[in-house]
Amino acid sequence: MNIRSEVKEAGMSENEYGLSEHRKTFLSVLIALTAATGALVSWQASRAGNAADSADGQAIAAALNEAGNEMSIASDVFLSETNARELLTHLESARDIHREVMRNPAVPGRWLDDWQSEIIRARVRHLQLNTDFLISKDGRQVFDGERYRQAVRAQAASEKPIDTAPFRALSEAKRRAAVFLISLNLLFASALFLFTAALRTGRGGRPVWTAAGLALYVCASGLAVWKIFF
Amino acid sequence: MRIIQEKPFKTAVILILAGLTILTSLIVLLNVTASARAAAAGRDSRILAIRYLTHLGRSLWDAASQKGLMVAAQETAGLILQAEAYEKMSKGQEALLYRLTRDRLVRLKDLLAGGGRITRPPYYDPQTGAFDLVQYFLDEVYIPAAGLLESQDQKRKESAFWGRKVEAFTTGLAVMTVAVFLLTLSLFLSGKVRLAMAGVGLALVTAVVGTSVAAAGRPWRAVSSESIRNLARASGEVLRAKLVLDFNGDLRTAERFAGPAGNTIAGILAKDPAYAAALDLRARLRAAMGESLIFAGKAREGRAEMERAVADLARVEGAGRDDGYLDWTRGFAQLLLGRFSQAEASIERALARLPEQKLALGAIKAVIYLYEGRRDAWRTVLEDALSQAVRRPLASDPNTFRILIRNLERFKEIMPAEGLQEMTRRLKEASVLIALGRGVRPLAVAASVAPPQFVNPVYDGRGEVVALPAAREFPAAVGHVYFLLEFKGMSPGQSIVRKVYRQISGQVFWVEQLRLGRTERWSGPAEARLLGSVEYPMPEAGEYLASGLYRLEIFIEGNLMASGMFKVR
Repeated sequence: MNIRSEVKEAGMSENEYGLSEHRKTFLSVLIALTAATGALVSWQASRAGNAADSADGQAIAAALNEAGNEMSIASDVFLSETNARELLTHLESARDIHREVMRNPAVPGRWLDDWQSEIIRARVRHLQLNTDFLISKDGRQVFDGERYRQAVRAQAASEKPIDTAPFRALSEAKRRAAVFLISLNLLFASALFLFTAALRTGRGGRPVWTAAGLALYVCASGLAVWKIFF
Repeated sequence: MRIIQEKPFKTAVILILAGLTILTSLIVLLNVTASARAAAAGRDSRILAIRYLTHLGRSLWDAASQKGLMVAAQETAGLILQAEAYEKMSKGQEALLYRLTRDRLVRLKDLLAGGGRITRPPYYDPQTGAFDLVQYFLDEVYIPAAGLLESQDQKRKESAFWGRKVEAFTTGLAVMTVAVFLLTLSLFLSGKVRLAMAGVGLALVTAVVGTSVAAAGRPWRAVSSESIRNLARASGEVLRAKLVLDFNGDLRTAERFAGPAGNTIAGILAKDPAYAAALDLRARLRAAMGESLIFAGKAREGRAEMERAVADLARVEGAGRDDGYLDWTRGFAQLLLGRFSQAEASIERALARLPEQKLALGAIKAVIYLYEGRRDAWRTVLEDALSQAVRRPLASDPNTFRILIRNLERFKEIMPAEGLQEMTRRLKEASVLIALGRGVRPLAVAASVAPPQFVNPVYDGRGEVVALPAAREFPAAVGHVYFLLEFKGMSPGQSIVRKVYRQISGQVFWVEQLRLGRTERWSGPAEARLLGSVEYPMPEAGEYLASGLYRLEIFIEGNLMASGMFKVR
């Protein structure tokens, strides 16, 4: 037996199920339509997966932005706090000497030299400080490192993303969508199975298989449209 | 007849093919799900890696800031003492200036104390004025970093786990296409070939279903974030205990940190019994404590703890973790248990996996050879290891040398053997020479120095030394201990290194006192008698020599030339 005669035999057997050409065409179109819809949904799932990958990349970029920003803030705070500490030390010294000189004009002359030196040192440190973040604590100036951190973080976030959470949330949502769309293929495949069974079974079961297949197809297509467009 | 036979066959094959679309869709769904979880875990792993580096950068700057604050507070405390002393020595306007200065410094110190974390409890003890920078570093830098690194490792493992599932499902899908092809072919063939094609196709489908079910049924056992947090905390406590053992040797203090660490690890393992990182940490803690117990003369408890450590290491390997550091820990444990051939095998495996650690591992191997009585072989192994110390500076830092020397000195007490003294001296000299950048071979010198003579200087009213009576014991809380050294045959530029070791009361071991060591270059005549002192960098700020027995060692050009001992009550 060759392949050609096999095909012929298959055609004869189909006739034995009493399937008219019209119904055969109808079921074949349904099978083709189901397969095409399944492929379309898979394509949409793939797009959702790509969007998730892209969001992952953005999350990593945000983490890198955050890293650069935090390092820069930490070194700035370190330098500013050191400057503020030095400023405070020299100012305290200068004020004490000045107070004593004002109270007791008979102090040795070198006290005034000391006072001047301390004032100059304090001024140098003051020049190196971002004075926006100097606060008064117990009547003395100190650098408010925490407020500085918050301000610089807010400024950085207005220029580039530094928080990974929104991208991770987007990625998770896109991945869930991809998995959901792919899972619809189970319904499309089941519909395909039912349409194929309708092609190969007798008159009794055919309407049931066809109706069940159509119900699955409509259900899966509706869910896919809802997930893709809404 | 043939038609009757073929119709059910073809119907069956066609329905199987249609059914395979459902099965394939299911495998695709499993594949996509696994792939999504692998990608998400991989992304989180990368983000956590970045966060780990971010944390290190940020926390190290913060630690530097806190350290600066601590130094400023210490300096201020020293200056307050100085101002008080000068105020008492002066009169009139001068005394007033010193009083003002002292008052200002006291206010400044209070303000500094309020401005940082290191200057407040629990990192600062107002009673003693001591700062606990180590605990600050562990709490603020090490423990969060360990937590991030462990979380990152877990995500990496999760990504690999889901990746393996993806591999299984992808392979299943590829095999499925072959099965579909064979089943389709069977529709167009006849006879035995047709049956064979259909049979192979069905067999492949069965295999795919089996492997897919097995892959899908394997669950990911995630370690809870609470366990990871606790593990990080426990690793900080273990590190603190090990630091105490390494630098102080005080078993009781180490147990203060090791106890809570052991309890925390037990809690983690009760929840996640197969958590390899927790088992690994427990093994290392047990090995460290076992070692310390053995060295403290508690051989029975120490050996039992060591046996438990070895058993834990086997469990860690059973859990899939396998690296040279496990072999290293096991080899050292077996050495202490006296199982020399097993120890040698473990150290050889570690050497094969960690060639960059040849100094430490080679020195341990030399000790094993020495205990096995291989007299000449141990020297060759040690020299080979020392030559590595010059080639690989990262694996031959002073700390590695210090731990090796410390262990050898301890071996001399608990497992004496001929050759240990020679090996210890060789390592000490090599350590000094490497620090000087002069290789590892001691340089030939014609110089000599007599053993240090400890003295108690007597001063006159102007602060001049008028007499140097010899002394062996010094009062408690002494700031300086003076000694006389008589040099002969010295040349300008020769290096003189002095190292100080302390034996804490009640202990048998010597611990190097890093802050008491000094390195100098000779600039005097060929023969000279010098007065030196053992002191901390800031004796004026109240730093004093704690009680115990001290040993001073003098190295000239890397040669250990003299040593002497004194006691602080």
